[in-house]
Amino acid sequence: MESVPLLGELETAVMEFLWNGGEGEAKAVHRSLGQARGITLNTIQSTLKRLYEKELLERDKVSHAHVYRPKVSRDEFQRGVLGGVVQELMGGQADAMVAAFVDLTERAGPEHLAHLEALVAARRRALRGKS
Amino acid sequence: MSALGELRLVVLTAASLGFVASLLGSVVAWAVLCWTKAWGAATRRRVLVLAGVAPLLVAVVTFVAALLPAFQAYLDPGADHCLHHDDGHAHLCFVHWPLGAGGLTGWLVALGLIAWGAARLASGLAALWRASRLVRVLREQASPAPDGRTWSLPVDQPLGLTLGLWRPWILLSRGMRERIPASLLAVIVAHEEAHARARDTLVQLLVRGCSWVLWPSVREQLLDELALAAEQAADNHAALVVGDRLLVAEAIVAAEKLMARGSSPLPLLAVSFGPHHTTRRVEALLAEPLSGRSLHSALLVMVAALVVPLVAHDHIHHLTESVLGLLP
Repeated sequence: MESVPLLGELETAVMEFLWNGGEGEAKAVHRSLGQARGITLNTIQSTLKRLYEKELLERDKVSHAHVYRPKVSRDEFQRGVLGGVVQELMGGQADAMVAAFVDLTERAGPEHLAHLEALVAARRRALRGKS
Repeated sequence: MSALGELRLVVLTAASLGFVASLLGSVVAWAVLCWTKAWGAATRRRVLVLAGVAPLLVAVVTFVAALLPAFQAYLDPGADHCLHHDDGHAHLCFVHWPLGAGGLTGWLVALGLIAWGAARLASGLAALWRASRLVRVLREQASPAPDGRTWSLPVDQPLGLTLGLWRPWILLSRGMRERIPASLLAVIVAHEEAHARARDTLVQLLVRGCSWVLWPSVREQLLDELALAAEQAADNHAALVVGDRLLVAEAIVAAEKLMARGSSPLPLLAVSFGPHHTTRRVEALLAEPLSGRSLHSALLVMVAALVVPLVAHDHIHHLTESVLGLLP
Protein backbone atom coordinates (compact mmCIF):
# COMPACT_ATOMS: atom_id res chain seq x y z
CA MET A 1 0.00 0.00 0.00
CA GLU A 2 1.34 3.46 -0.79
CA SER A 3 1.85 5.87 2.07
CA VAL A 4 -1.37 6.89 3.81
CA PRO A 5 -2.26 10.27 5.25
CA LEU A 6 -1.63 10.84 8.92
CA LEU A 7 -4.83 11.15 10.94
CA GLY A 8 -5.94 13.52 13.66
CA GLU A 9 -7.19 12.35 17.04
CA LEU A 10 -10.88 12.18 16.13
CA GLU A 11 -10.19 10.55 12.76
CA THR A 12 -8.10 7.91 14.53
CA ALA A 13 -10.85 7.29 17.08
CA VAL A 14 -13.45 6.86 14.32
CA MET A 15 -11.23 4.44 12.39
CA GLU A 16 -10.54 2.42 15.55
CA PHE A 17 -14.27 2.28 16.24
CA LEU A 18 -15.01 0.97 12.75
CA TRP A 19 -12.10 -1.50 12.80
CA ASN A 20 -13.43 -2.87 16.06
CA GLY A 21 -16.68 -3.72 14.30
CA GLY A 22 -18.66 -0.66 15.17
CA GLU A 23 -21.70 0.27 13.11
CA GLY A 24 -20.77 2.66 10.33
CA GLU A 25 -23.78 4.94 10.32
CA ALA A 26 -23.06 8.49 11.47
CA LYS A 27 -25.63 8.47 14.27
CA ALA A 28 -24.20 5.24 15.70
CA VAL A 29 -20.67 6.65 15.61
CA HIS A 30 -21.90 9.83 17.25
CA ARG A 31 -23.65 7.88 20.01
CA SER A 32 -20.49 5.92 20.79
CA LEU A 33 -17.80 8.56 20.30
CA GLY A 34 -19.27 11.99 19.81
CA GLN A 35 -21.56 12.39 22.80
CA ALA A 36 -18.87 11.58 25.36
CA ARG A 37 -16.55 14.13 23.71
CA GLY A 38 -19.21 16.81 23.37
CA ILE A 39 -18.95 16.64 19.58
CA THR A 40 -21.94 17.29 17.35
CA LEU A 41 -23.36 14.89 14.80
CA ASN A 42 -22.27 17.31 12.06
CA THR A 43 -18.66 16.99 13.16
CA ILE A 44 -18.87 13.19 13.06
CA GLN A 45 -20.45 13.34 9.60
CA SER A 46 -17.67 15.66 8.39
CA THR A 47 -15.02 13.35 9.84
CA LEU A 48 -16.53 10.31 8.13
CA LYS A 49 -16.71 12.22 4.84
CA ARG A 50 -13.07 13.29 5.22
CA LEU A 51 -11.96 9.72 5.84
CA TYR A 52 -13.94 8.62 2.78
CA GLU A 53 -12.19 11.30 0.70
CA LYS A 54 -8.85 10.06 2.04
CA GLU A 55 -9.86 6.65 0.65
CA LEU A 56 -9.78 4.98 4.04
CA LEU A 57 -13.51 4.26 4.09
CA GLU A 58 -16.07 2.93 1.64
CA ARG A 59 -19.75 3.80 1.88
CA ASP A 60 -23.15 2.66 0.77
CA LYS A 61 -26.35 4.64 0.72
CA VAL A 62 -28.95 3.00 2.92
CA SER A 63 -32.26 4.82 2.97
CA HIS A 64 -31.23 8.44 3.41
CA ALA A 65 -27.96 7.90 5.18
CA HIS A 66 -24.49 6.72 4.27
CA VAL A 67 -23.11 3.68 6.03
CA TYR A 68 -19.33 3.59 6.19
CA ARG A 69 -16.95 0.66 6.52
CA PRO A 70 -13.15 0.51 6.49
CA LYS A 71 -11.54 0.19 3.07
CA VAL A 72 -8.20 -0.90 4.55
CA SER A 73 -7.46 -3.12 7.52
CA ARG A 74 -5.75 -1.74 10.61
CA ASP A 75 -2.55 -3.62 9.74
CA GLU A 76 -2.51 -2.35 6.17
CA PHE A 77 -3.08 1.18 7.42
CA GLN A 78 -0.28 1.00 9.98
CA ARG A 79 2.10 -0.44 7.38
CA GLY A 80 1.17 2.41 5.07
CA VAL A 81 1.68 5.00 7.81
CA LEU A 82 5.04 3.54 8.72
CA GLY A 83 6.10 3.38 5.09
CA GLY A 84 5.23 7.04 4.55
CA VAL A 85 6.88 8.15 7.78
CA VAL A 86 10.09 6.24 7.10
CA GLN A 87 10.19 7.64 3.57
CA GLU A 88 9.90 11.18 4.95
CA LEU A 89 12.56 10.36 7.54
CA MET A 90 14.95 9.10 4.86
CA GLY A 91 14.21 12.27 2.90
CA GLY A 92 15.54 14.40 5.75
CA GLN A 93 12.14 15.77 6.80
CA ALA A 94 12.83 15.16 10.48
CA ASP A 95 16.45 16.34 10.51
CA ALA A 96 15.63 19.06 13.05
CA MET A 97 14.86 16.46 15.74
CA VAL A 98 16.82 13.36 14.75
CA ALA A 99 20.40 12.14 15.14
CA ALA A 100 21.12 9.00 13.09
CA PHE A 101 23.92 6.47 13.58
CA VAL A 102 24.73 6.79 9.89
CA ASP A 103 23.47 9.63 7.71
CA LEU A 104 19.99 8.95 6.38
CA THR A 105 20.19 11.00 3.21
CA GLU A 106 23.77 10.70 2.01
CA ARG A 107 25.75 7.54 1.31
CA ALA A 108 29.50 6.97 1.12
CA GLY A 109 30.54 5.93 -2.37
CA PRO A 110 31.10 2.20 -2.89
CA GLU A 111 34.85 2.63 -3.45
CA HIS A 112 35.20 4.55 -0.20
CA LEU A 113 33.20 1.94 1.67
CA ALA A 114 35.36 -0.89 0.36
CA HIS A 115 38.49 1.09 1.22
CA LEU A 116 37.24 1.68 4.79
CA GLU A 117 36.34 -1.97 5.23
CA ALA A 118 39.82 -2.98 4.12
CA LEU A 119 41.45 -0.44 6.47
CA VAL A 120 39.47 -1.68 9.45
CA ALA A 121 40.14 -5.34 8.62
CA ALA A 122 43.88 -4.67 8.22
CA ARG A 123 44.01 -2.90 11.57
CA ARG A 124 42.14 -5.77 13.21
CA ARG A 125 44.62 -8.29 11.74
CA ALA A 126 47.54 -6.19 12.91
CA LEU A 127 46.15 -6.09 16.46
CA ARG A 128 45.62 -9.83 16.49
CA GLY A 129 49.16 -10.32 15.19
CA LYS A 130 50.56 -8.25 18.06
CA SER A 131 48.59 -10.13 20.66
CA MET B 1 3.75 58.85 11.14
CA SER B 2 6.25 59.63 13.93
CA ALA B 3 5.72 56.28 15.61
CA LEU B 4 6.08 54.54 12.25
CA GLY B 5 9.21 56.56 11.62
CA GLU B 6 10.61 55.33 14.91
CA LEU B 7 9.69 51.74 13.99
CA ARG B 8 11.53 52.21 10.71
CA LEU B 9 14.63 53.37 12.58
CA VAL B 10 14.45 50.41 14.98
CA VAL B 11 14.10 47.94 12.10
CA LEU B 12 16.99 49.55 10.20
CA THR B 13 19.07 49.46 13.41
CA ALA B 14 18.39 45.74 13.77
CA ALA B 15 19.20 45.20 10.09
CA SER B 16 22.44 47.15 10.27
CA LEU B 17 23.58 45.25 13.34
CA GLY B 18 22.51 42.00 11.73
CA PHE B 19 24.58 42.85 8.66
CA VAL B 20 27.64 43.58 10.79
CA ALA B 21 27.04 40.40 12.81
CA SER B 22 26.75 38.44 9.57
CA LEU B 23 30.05 39.75 8.21
CA LEU B 24 32.07 39.54 11.41
CA GLY B 25 30.38 36.35 12.59
CA SER B 26 31.04 34.62 9.28
CA VAL B 27 34.73 35.57 9.38
CA VAL B 28 35.04 34.36 12.98
CA ALA B 29 33.13 31.15 12.23
CA TRP B 30 35.32 30.45 9.21
CA ALA B 31 38.44 31.04 11.33
CA VAL B 32 37.10 28.72 14.04
CA LEU B 33 36.42 26.02 11.44
CA CYS B 34 40.03 26.21 10.22
CA TRP B 35 41.53 26.53 13.70
CA THR B 36 39.72 23.55 15.26
CA LYS B 37 40.21 20.99 12.49
CA ALA B 38 42.74 19.00 14.50
CA TRP B 39 40.95 19.28 17.83
CA GLY B 40 39.29 16.46 19.76
CA ALA B 41 35.62 15.95 18.89
CA ALA B 42 34.07 16.96 22.23
CA THR B 43 35.96 20.26 22.45
CA ARG B 44 35.49 20.98 18.76
CA ARG B 45 31.75 20.46 19.17
CA ARG B 46 31.57 23.00 22.03
CA VAL B 47 33.55 25.64 20.15
CA LEU B 48 31.47 25.19 17.01
CA VAL B 49 28.31 25.65 19.08
CA LEU B 50 29.74 28.91 20.43
CA ALA B 51 30.70 30.04 16.93
CA GLY B 52 27.18 29.25 15.73
CA VAL B 53 25.20 31.07 18.43
CA ALA B 54 27.58 33.92 19.29
CA PRO B 55 26.97 36.21 16.27
CA LEU B 56 23.21 36.37 16.83
CA LEU B 57 23.58 36.72 20.62
CA VAL B 58 26.14 39.49 20.27
CA ALA B 59 23.94 41.23 17.66
CA VAL B 60 20.93 41.07 19.98
CA VAL B 61 22.93 42.40 22.94
CA THR B 62 24.35 45.19 20.78
CA PHE B 63 20.83 46.01 19.55
CA VAL B 64 19.64 46.25 23.16
CA ALA B 65 22.68 48.39 23.97
CA ALA B 66 21.86 50.73 21.05
CA LEU B 67 18.33 51.20 22.42
CA LEU B 68 19.27 51.39 26.09
CA PRO B 69 19.66 55.20 26.25
CA ALA B 70 16.28 55.52 24.51
CA PHE B 71 14.66 53.33 27.19
CA GLN B 72 16.50 55.24 29.93
CA ALA B 73 15.22 58.59 28.59
CA TYR B 74 11.68 57.17 28.38
CA LEU B 75 11.78 56.01 32.00
CA ASP B 76 13.79 58.91 33.44
CA PRO B 77 13.35 62.33 31.78
CA GLY B 78 16.52 63.45 33.54
CA ALA B 79 18.44 60.97 31.38
CA ASP B 80 17.12 62.47 28.12
CA HIS B 81 20.19 63.30 26.02
CA CYS B 82 18.38 64.32 22.82
CA LEU B 83 18.46 68.03 23.73
CA HIS B 84 22.19 67.91 22.98
CA HIS B 85 21.62 66.67 19.43
CA ASP B 86 22.08 68.93 16.44
CA ASP B 87 19.09 69.39 14.19
CA GLY B 88 18.77 66.68 11.59
CA HIS B 89 20.55 64.05 13.68
CA ALA B 90 18.73 60.72 13.48
CA HIS B 91 16.95 60.15 16.78
CA LEU B 92 16.82 56.64 18.13
CA CYS B 93 14.64 57.83 20.95
CA PHE B 94 11.22 57.00 22.40
CA VAL B 95 10.66 60.52 23.74
CA HIS B 96 11.56 62.68 20.72
CA TRP B 97 10.21 60.72 17.78
CA PRO B 98 11.31 61.60 14.23
CA LEU B 99 9.33 64.46 12.69
CA GLY B 100 9.03 62.61 9.41
CA ALA B 101 8.75 58.95 8.51
CA GLY B 102 11.88 58.94 6.39
CA GLY B 103 12.53 58.32 2.71
CA LEU B 104 10.78 55.74 0.53
CA THR B 105 13.99 53.73 0.05
CA GLY B 106 14.41 53.34 3.78
CA TRP B 107 10.80 52.23 4.08
CA LEU B 108 11.14 49.68 1.30
CA VAL B 109 14.28 48.27 2.89
CA ALA B 110 12.65 48.10 6.33
CA LEU B 111 9.49 46.42 5.02
CA GLY B 112 11.50 44.06 2.86
CA LEU B 113 13.57 43.02 5.86
CA ILE B 114 10.48 42.42 7.98
CA ALA B 115 8.96 40.29 5.20
CA TRP B 116 12.19 38.34 4.73
CA GLY B 117 12.56 37.75 8.47
CA ALA B 118 8.94 36.63 8.76
CA ALA B 119 9.34 34.24 5.81
CA ARG B 120 12.51 32.70 7.27
CA LEU B 121 10.85 32.29 10.66
CA ALA B 122 7.74 30.73 9.12
CA SER B 123 9.86 28.34 7.06
CA GLY B 124 11.85 27.27 10.12
CA LEU B 125 8.74 26.77 12.23
CA ALA B 126 7.09 24.76 9.44
CA ALA B 127 10.13 22.46 9.21
CA LEU B 128 10.09 22.04 12.99
CA TRP B 129 6.37 21.22 12.95
CA ARG B 130 6.88 18.61 10.20
CA ALA B 131 9.74 17.02 12.14
CA SER B 132 7.74 17.05 15.37
CA ARG B 133 4.79 15.33 13.64
CA LEU B 134 7.06 12.62 12.23
CA VAL B 135 8.70 11.99 15.59
CA ARG B 136 5.28 11.79 17.26
CA VAL B 137 4.06 9.22 14.73
CA LEU B 138 7.26 7.17 15.11
CA ARG B 139 6.76 7.12 18.88
CA GLU B 140 3.16 5.97 18.41
CA GLN B 141 4.22 3.19 16.04
CA ALA B 142 7.25 2.05 18.08
CA SER B 143 7.18 -0.28 21.07
CA PRO B 144 9.57 -0.48 24.05
CA ALA B 145 12.33 -3.05 23.55
CA PRO B 146 13.08 -5.71 26.20
CA ASP B 147 16.43 -4.02 26.99
CA GLY B 148 14.55 -1.14 28.62
CA ARG B 149 16.81 1.43 26.94
CA THR B 150 15.55 1.52 23.37
CA TRP B 151 12.37 1.37 21.29
CA SER B 152 11.67 -0.91 18.33
CA LEU B 153 10.10 -0.05 15.01
CA PRO B 154 8.73 -2.85 12.79
CA VAL B 155 10.37 -1.74 9.51
CA ASP B 156 13.07 -3.36 7.40
CA GLN B 157 15.18 -0.22 6.89
CA PRO B 158 18.24 -0.41 9.17
CA LEU B 159 17.58 2.59 11.40
CA GLY B 160 19.48 3.55 14.55
CA LEU B 161 18.24 6.95 15.71
CA THR B 162 18.00 9.36 18.61
CA LEU B 163 14.80 11.36 18.35
CA GLY B 164 13.21 14.26 20.15
CA LEU B 165 14.50 17.44 21.76
CA TRP B 166 13.62 17.63 25.45
CA ARG B 167 13.58 13.93 26.39
CA PRO B 168 15.48 12.17 23.60
CA TRP B 169 14.70 8.51 23.03
CA ILE B 170 16.50 5.82 21.06
CA LEU B 171 14.96 3.86 18.20
CA LEU B 172 16.34 0.74 16.55
CA SER B 173 14.38 -0.75 13.67
CA ARG B 174 13.69 -4.45 13.15
CA GLY B 175 15.93 -4.24 10.09
CA MET B 176 18.84 -3.09 12.28
CA ARG B 177 18.27 -5.58 15.11
CA GLU B 178 17.97 -8.59 12.82
CA ARG B 179 20.91 -7.87 10.54
CA ILE B 180 23.54 -6.39 12.86
CA PRO B 181 25.42 -8.70 15.28
CA ALA B 182 24.79 -8.17 18.98
CA SER B 183 28.31 -6.82 19.60
CA LEU B 184 27.84 -4.08 17.00
CA LEU B 185 24.30 -3.33 18.22
CA ALA B 186 25.80 -2.61 21.65
CA VAL B 187 28.05 -0.04 19.98
CA ILE B 188 25.10 1.60 18.25
CA VAL B 189 23.11 1.80 21.48
CA ALA B 190 26.09 3.30 23.35
CA HIS B 191 26.57 5.81 20.52
CA GLU B 192 22.92 6.87 20.55
CA GLU B 193 22.91 7.10 24.35
CA ALA B 194 25.78 9.58 24.06
CA HIS B 195 23.66 11.69 21.68
CA ALA B 196 20.74 11.56 24.10
CA ARG B 197 22.91 12.52 27.08
CA ALA B 198 24.49 15.44 25.20
CA ARG B 199 21.06 16.59 23.92
CA ASP B 200 22.62 16.80 20.46
CA THR B 201 19.29 17.23 18.66
CA LEU B 202 18.39 20.24 20.82
CA VAL B 203 21.87 21.78 20.57
CA GLN B 204 21.97 21.41 16.80
CA LEU B 205 18.49 22.89 16.46
CA LEU B 206 19.59 25.86 18.57
CA VAL B 207 22.68 26.42 16.46
CA ARG B 208 20.63 25.99 13.27
CA GLY B 209 18.24 28.69 14.51
CA CYS B 210 20.89 31.14 15.71
CA SER B 211 23.29 30.75 12.80
CA TRP B 212 20.95 32.13 10.13
CA VAL B 213 22.82 35.47 10.39
CA LEU B 214 25.94 33.82 9.01
CA TRP B 215 26.90 33.82 5.36
CA PRO B 216 25.10 30.77 3.80
CA SER B 217 28.23 28.87 2.71
CA VAL B 218 29.89 29.40 6.11
CA ARG B 219 26.69 28.39 7.89
CA GLU B 220 26.40 25.20 5.84
CA GLN B 221 30.00 24.27 6.61
CA LEU B 222 29.57 25.08 10.31
CA LEU B 223 26.43 22.94 10.64
CA ASP B 224 28.06 20.08 8.76
CA GLU B 225 31.20 20.17 10.93
CA LEU B 226 29.09 20.43 14.08
CA ALA B 227 27.10 17.35 13.07
CA LEU B 228 30.36 15.50 12.39
CA ALA B 229 31.88 16.59 15.72
CA ALA B 230 28.75 15.38 17.54
CA GLU B 231 28.97 12.00 15.75
CA GLN B 232 32.66 11.66 16.54
CA ALA B 233 32.11 12.58 20.19
CA ALA B 234 29.40 9.90 20.38
CA ASP B 235 31.77 7.44 18.64
CA ASN B 236 34.45 8.17 21.26
CA HIS B 237 31.96 7.63 24.07
CA ALA B 238 30.81 4.32 22.52
CA ALA B 239 34.48 3.27 22.20
CA LEU B 240 34.96 3.91 25.93
CA VAL B 241 31.84 1.93 26.80
CA VAL B 242 32.67 -1.15 24.68
CA GLY B 243 36.43 -0.78 25.20
CA ASP B 244 37.31 -1.14 21.50
CA ARG B 245 37.64 1.73 19.00
CA LEU B 246 37.91 -0.72 16.11
CA LEU B 247 34.55 -2.25 17.03
CA VAL B 248 32.92 1.18 16.69
CA ALA B 249 34.57 1.59 13.27
CA GLU B 250 33.27 -1.86 12.28
CA ALA B 251 29.76 -0.91 13.42
CA ILE B 252 29.81 2.25 11.29
CA VAL B 253 30.96 0.38 8.20
CA ALA B 254 28.42 -2.41 8.75
CA ALA B 255 25.53 0.07 9.20
CA GLU B 256 26.62 2.08 6.17
CA LYS B 257 26.76 -1.10 4.03
CA LEU B 258 23.26 -2.08 5.16
CA MET B 259 21.89 1.36 4.34
CA ALA B 260 23.58 1.29 0.94
CA ARG B 261 21.98 -2.07 0.14
CA GLY B 262 18.60 -0.98 1.50
CA SER B 263 15.62 -3.26 1.90
CA SER B 264 13.16 -1.32 -0.22
CA PRO B 265 13.62 0.73 -3.38
CA LEU B 266 14.11 4.09 -1.67
CA PRO B 267 15.76 6.60 -3.97
CA LEU B 268 19.31 7.58 -3.05
CA LEU B 269 19.13 11.31 -2.52
CA ALA B 270 22.86 11.90 -2.61
CA VAL B 271 25.98 9.83 -2.91
CA SER B 272 29.15 11.35 -1.60
CA PHE B 273 32.39 10.49 -3.36
CA GLY B 274 34.36 12.92 -1.23
CA PRO B 275 35.39 12.83 2.44
CA HIS B 276 31.96 11.80 3.66
CA HIS B 277 31.26 11.77 7.41
CA THR B 278 31.50 7.98 7.47
CA THR B 279 35.04 8.14 6.08
CA ARG B 280 36.15 10.80 8.55
CA ARG B 281 34.58 8.99 11.49
CA VAL B 282 36.24 5.69 10.66
CA GLU B 283 39.62 7.31 10.01
CA ALA B 284 39.38 9.16 13.35
CA LEU B 285 38.65 5.88 15.15
CA LEU B 286 41.62 4.18 13.51
CA ALA B 287 43.90 7.03 14.61
CA GLU B 288 45.00 7.79 18.13
CA PRO B 289 42.33 9.73 20.07
CA LEU B 290 42.96 13.49 20.16
CA SER B 291 43.27 15.18 23.54
CA GLY B 292 40.81 17.77 24.76
CA ARG B 293 41.61 21.46 25.08
CA SER B 294 40.64 24.19 27.47
CA LEU B 295 37.86 26.46 26.33
CA HIS B 296 38.59 29.22 28.83
CA SER B 297 39.89 31.71 26.28
CA ALA B 298 36.94 31.09 23.92
CA LEU B 299 34.48 31.58 26.76
CA LEU B 300 36.26 34.75 27.91
CA VAL B 301 36.02 36.20 24.40
CA MET B 302 32.32 35.30 24.27
CA VAL B 303 31.59 36.91 27.64
CA ALA B 304 33.55 40.03 26.65
CA ALA B 305 31.64 40.26 23.36
CA LEU B 306 28.38 40.23 25.34
CA VAL B 307 29.40 42.57 28.15
CA VAL B 308 31.32 45.27 26.26
CA PRO B 309 28.33 46.52 24.19
CA LEU B 310 26.25 46.88 27.36
CA VAL B 311 29.00 48.76 29.15
CA ALA B 312 29.63 50.98 26.14
CA HIS B 313 25.93 51.47 25.34
CA ASP B 314 26.20 55.26 25.02
CA HIS B 315 28.89 54.96 22.36
CA ILE B 316 26.95 52.21 20.57
CA HIS B 317 23.81 54.37 20.67
CA HIS B 318 25.50 57.46 19.19
CA LEU B 319 27.36 55.42 16.59
CA THR B 320 24.07 53.80 15.55
CA GLU B 321 22.36 57.19 15.24
CA SER B 322 25.24 58.44 13.08
CA VAL B 323 24.98 55.42 10.79
CA LEU B 324 21.20 55.75 10.59
CA GLY B 325 21.66 59.40 9.64
CA LEU B 326 23.51 58.26 6.53
CA LEU B 327 20.67 56.00 5.39
CA PRO B 328 18.00 57.31 2.95
